[in-house]
Amino acid sequence: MAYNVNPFLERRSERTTSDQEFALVFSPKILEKLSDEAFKGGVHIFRSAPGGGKTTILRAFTPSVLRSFWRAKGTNELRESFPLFVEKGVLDDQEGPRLLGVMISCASGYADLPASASAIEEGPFRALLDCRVVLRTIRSLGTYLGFSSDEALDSIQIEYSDDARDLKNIPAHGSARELASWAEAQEKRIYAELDSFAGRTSQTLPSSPRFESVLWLQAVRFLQDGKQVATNRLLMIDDLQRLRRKQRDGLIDELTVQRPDFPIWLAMRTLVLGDSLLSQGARIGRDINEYALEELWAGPKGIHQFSSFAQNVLDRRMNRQVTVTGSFSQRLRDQLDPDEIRPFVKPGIDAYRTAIQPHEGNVRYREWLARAEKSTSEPTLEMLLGLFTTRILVARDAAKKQLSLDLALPAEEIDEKDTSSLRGAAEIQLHEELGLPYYYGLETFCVMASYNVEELLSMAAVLYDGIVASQVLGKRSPELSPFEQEKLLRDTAERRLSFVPKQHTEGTRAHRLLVSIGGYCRERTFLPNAPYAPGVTGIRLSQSEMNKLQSGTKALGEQGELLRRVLSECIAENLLLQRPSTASTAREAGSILYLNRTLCAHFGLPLQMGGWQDVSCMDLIDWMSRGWKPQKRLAMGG
Amino acid sequence: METAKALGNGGLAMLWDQYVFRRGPDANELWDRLFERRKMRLLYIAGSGFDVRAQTAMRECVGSIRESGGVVDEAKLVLIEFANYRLDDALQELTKQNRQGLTEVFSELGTIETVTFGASEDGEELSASSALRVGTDAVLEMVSDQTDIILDASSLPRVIYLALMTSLLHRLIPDKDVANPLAAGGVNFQVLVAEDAGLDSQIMAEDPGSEVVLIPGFLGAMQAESVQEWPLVWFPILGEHRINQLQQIMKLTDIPGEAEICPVVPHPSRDPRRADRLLVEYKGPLFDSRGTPTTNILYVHESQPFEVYRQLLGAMTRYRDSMVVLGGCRLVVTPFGSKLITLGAGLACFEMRPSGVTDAPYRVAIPHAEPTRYVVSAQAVTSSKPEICSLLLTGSAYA
Repeated sequence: MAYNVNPFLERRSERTTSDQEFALVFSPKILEKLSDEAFKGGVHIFRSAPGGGKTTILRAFTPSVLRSFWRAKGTNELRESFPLFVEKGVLDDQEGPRLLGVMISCASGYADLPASASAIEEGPFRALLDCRVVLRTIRSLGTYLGFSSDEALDSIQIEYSDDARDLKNIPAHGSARELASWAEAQEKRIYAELDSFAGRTSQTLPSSPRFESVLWLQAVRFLQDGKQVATNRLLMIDDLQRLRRKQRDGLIDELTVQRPDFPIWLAMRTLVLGDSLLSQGARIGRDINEYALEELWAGPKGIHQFSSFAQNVLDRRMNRQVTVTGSFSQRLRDQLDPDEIRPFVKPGIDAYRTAIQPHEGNVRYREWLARAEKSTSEPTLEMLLGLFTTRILVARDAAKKQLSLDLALPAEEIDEKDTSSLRGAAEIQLHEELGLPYYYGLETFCVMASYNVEELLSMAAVLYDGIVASQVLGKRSPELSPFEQEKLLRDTAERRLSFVPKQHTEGTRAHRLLVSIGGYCRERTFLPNAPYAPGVTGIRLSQSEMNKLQSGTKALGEQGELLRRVLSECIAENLLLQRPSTASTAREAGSILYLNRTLCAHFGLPLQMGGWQDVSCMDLIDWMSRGWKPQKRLAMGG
Repeated sequence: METAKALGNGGLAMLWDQYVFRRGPDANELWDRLFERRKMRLLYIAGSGFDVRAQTAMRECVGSIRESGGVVDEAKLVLIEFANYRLDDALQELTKQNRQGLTEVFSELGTIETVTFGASEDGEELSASSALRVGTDAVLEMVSDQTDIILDASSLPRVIYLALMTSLLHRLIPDKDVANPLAAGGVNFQVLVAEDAGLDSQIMAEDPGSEVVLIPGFLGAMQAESVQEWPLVWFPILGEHRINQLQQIMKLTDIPGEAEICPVVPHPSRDPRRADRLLVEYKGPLFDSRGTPTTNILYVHESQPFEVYRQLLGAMTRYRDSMVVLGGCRLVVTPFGSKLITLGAGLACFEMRPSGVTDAPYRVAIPHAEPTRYVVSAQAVTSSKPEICSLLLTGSAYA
C-alpha cells in the first residue's frame, strides 16, 4: 500500500490504521481522563457523537494494540502512554499485556436478523453475539499470548468454575481450538440462513434465551502448561446504536442484571431526547456507569485540557510525515502583525465615529469619547478593540430608559465594565464589520473542533494542505497567517454545512433548521449594544417544550415527530451540542442546543458557549419547514 | 439465435462466455424473434417511481409481443413502490402519472400487483437490509411456472434491481456447476434498461440513509466474525455525484487501511475524459487518504455490461487465487456507476459467490448506501429520449 499523503486524513480509531500505527498515534491524554471505576466489574457505557473517541479508547485495550504499545515502549511516541497503561494494570513492563480485552462490534449484521426467526424473542441475536464473543475471546487470547497461528491454540486447555454449570448453549469443551471451531460452525449455521438469496423458505435459526457469553467469560479458565493465564478480562461492545432498539435495550438490561464481576464496556452514540438508557430498577453508579466523552472535557479547565489533548494528537500525526518540519502549533501564527492591522485602522475609526456621532454633544459621554479619540493615534488592535468596546457601552447606556443626571461618566468606568465577554463582543464585531480575522490560532482551532477528534482531524487536514502549499510556493513565512488560517477554516465550515443534506438521513430539513438557527443567532448577536455579549450561539427549549417534543405526535402532530427526529440526528451527529439548563427563579429548567462551533465560524458567530435564546417547538417546526426570516433589518453588519 | 462472443478471459470458464445483449432497434428485433408465435406466461417486474423511462421500455416490449404474434396465456405485472424516499411535489406527481401509465400499457396483457419495498407490515423496526430482503422475497413469491421473466431496471433503485436480478438468477440457476446452467429450464429471463446517460447525470442523490444496505446473499463477507481477518479487496465502481455515499460506506463498513482498493472507472466512454474526471472527483477519499496506487484502477466499457462482467470477474478471480495463501479473502463490490455497468458488476458477483453453506476461502459482498431523496427537474425526466437495452440472461437462447 502506498504512503499517506496527508497524515490527518486517516481516521485514527477505526481499523483503517494498523495496530503499530495506531499505537504510535494514540494520544494517552484521554487515559488520564478515564476513571479507575471503569476498570471495575460492572457495565460501563461510553457515549459521544461520532468521532468523539469511543472506538479509539476501546481499540487501545485490545491485545494486538497493547502488544504494539509494549513493543514500542522505548520510543518517543510511547514515552507518555506506556506508564499510564502500566499504572492502569493493563501492561507489565517485563511481561507485556496483562489484560485480555475482547472487542466486538454491533455493526456486524445483528440488526439484519429477522425478528420472527425464532420462538424466543431476539433469541438468534443472543446466539450470534454469544458465539462471536467466544470466537473473539479465543482469537484475542492467541494474540495476548503472542501466538502467530491458530494451531498454537492447541496448547491452551480450558477449565470452568462452578458457575459454568448454568451454561446451556455454549459447550464446555476442554480445548480452545475445539471451542473456536464450535463458534465458527455456529456462526456459519446462522449465516447459512442470513446470507442466503431472497425467495427461499426460512429455516429456524439457532436461538438462545439469554446472553450466556458473559457468564462464560466469567467462568472460563485458560491454562497454558498447567498455569492459568489471562485472568484479567475486559469485554468491549462497540457501536450499540447499530442494533435495533429492542436488541439494544435487551442487551443493556440483561448485562446489567447479570452483574458481571469483570468490566463490560459498551460504546454508543450520544443518547438524545428522551431515549432511555436504564432498565427499571437499575441505577446509575450502582449498576451502570456512564461516561459522556464530550463531558470529560467540559469542566472549568475543559477546553485547555482538550487543547492539550488535541495538540498531542496533532503532533503525533505530524511526526508520521516528513514534508513539514516542527510541531503543528509552530505552523499556525496566533497573532496579527502590525502590518496586517494597519489597513483596518482607518475603517475601524470611521465606523466608530459614525456610530458615536449622535452622542457627540452629550456631556454624559464626554470623558469616554475623549479617551477613545485620544487612543486613535496608536494604530494597534488594542486601540480598535477599545473603540468598539466604548461604542457598545455608549449604546447600552443610551438604551437605558430611566432618567439620569447629565453628569459626565468617568473614563475609568470603561475599565470597570470591560469584561472578557464585552471584549469578545468587540472582537466579533470587528470581524463582522471590518473583516479582521477572528478564527485563527491553535486554541481557536481546537475550540472549533467541538471536543470531537474527527472534526479536529478534518480541519487539521485542510490546514496541513495549506502549510504544504505555502512551503511549495516558497512563501517567506513558514507559518500560516491568521488570514490564511481563517480562510481555510471558514471554507471547511462552509463545506461541513453544505454536506449536511448529502450526509444525513434528514439532511435537507436539518440543513434548513441549522441555517435558520444560525441566522437567528446572528440577528441576536449583532445588535449595537451587544446585549448577550459576546453573542448568541444557541437556542433553548424549556422543559415544557421538551415534554411536548417527547410526547410523540400527541402535542405537536406529525411535524413534532419530524422535528424530534431532525433534532435527534443533529445532536447525534454533533451538529447541535446539547447542554442542560438549570431552573432559576425566573425560568424553568430545559435544554440548550448550541450550534456546533465549526458552524459558528460559518455564520460568523463567536465561539464561546454562553448566549442562548428561548424558542418554542413551533418556532423550530416553522424554521425546519420554511426557514427562518429576519423580523427586522439587522442593525449592524450583514 | 445470434449470439455475440465474449473476448475470453484467460482460460476462465464463465457462465456468460456467450451472451445476448441488444440495444436500440436491435432489442426490438431480439424480442420479435424471442416472442414469435409462441405461447408464454409472463412475469414483468418494473418500478413505479418517478422515472418515466420505464414506460418507454414497457411500451416497446408490449408492442413487440403484440406484433410478433406471441400468445400470452398469463401475464402479471409486479409494480414496485417505495416507502422510504422523499420527493418534491413535481416528482410525486410524476410518480403518480408513471404508475398510471404503466398500468394502462400493461392492462392489455394481464393483471397487476403492487409490492412496496421498505415498509414493515407490523410496525416492527426493520433494518434497511432486512427491508430489502422482505421486498425481494415478496416479488420472488410470484415466480412460479412462467416462461418469461422481464425485470425492467429503468426506474428501480440499484439495490432493488441488483437484489432482484441476483435472487431471480439463483432461483433459475440453483447450481452453477450443472451442464448448460443458463438454459434454466427454458425460462427466458431478461433485464431491460432504458438508458439515458444525460438524464442519469442530472439525478442527484441526497440524504443518504444512516445504514449500509447489503444485497441478500452478499452480506457474510462484511459481517461474519470468522472471516473478518481475511484480507479485503474493494472494487468501488465510480459514478458522478456519489462521493458522499462512498464515504458513508467507508465509514460504516470500516474498509480496513490495508484493504486492496481497485477503483473501477468507465473507459472507453462517449466522453473520453469521463474516467479522468471521476478520478479527480474521488481523489480525496480514495487517493489522498488511502494512497491507492493508480496501477490498481480497472477500466470497464461504459455501455457494454458483459464486458464489465468479464473484467470484474477476471480481477476477482485473480485476487482470490493470489490470496488463497493468506487463508482467504473478501471481495467487496460497491456499484455507483451507470445501470449497465452495475448490472455487469451484479452478474460478476453472482457468478463469483460461492454456493450454499461453504468452506470456500472467499466471500463476496455488495454494500451500498442508498439515498433517501432524489432531486431532478421533472421536465428533464419527461423529455428524456432513452435507448432500450436488453440483457437476455437465461433461457432458450442458451439451450
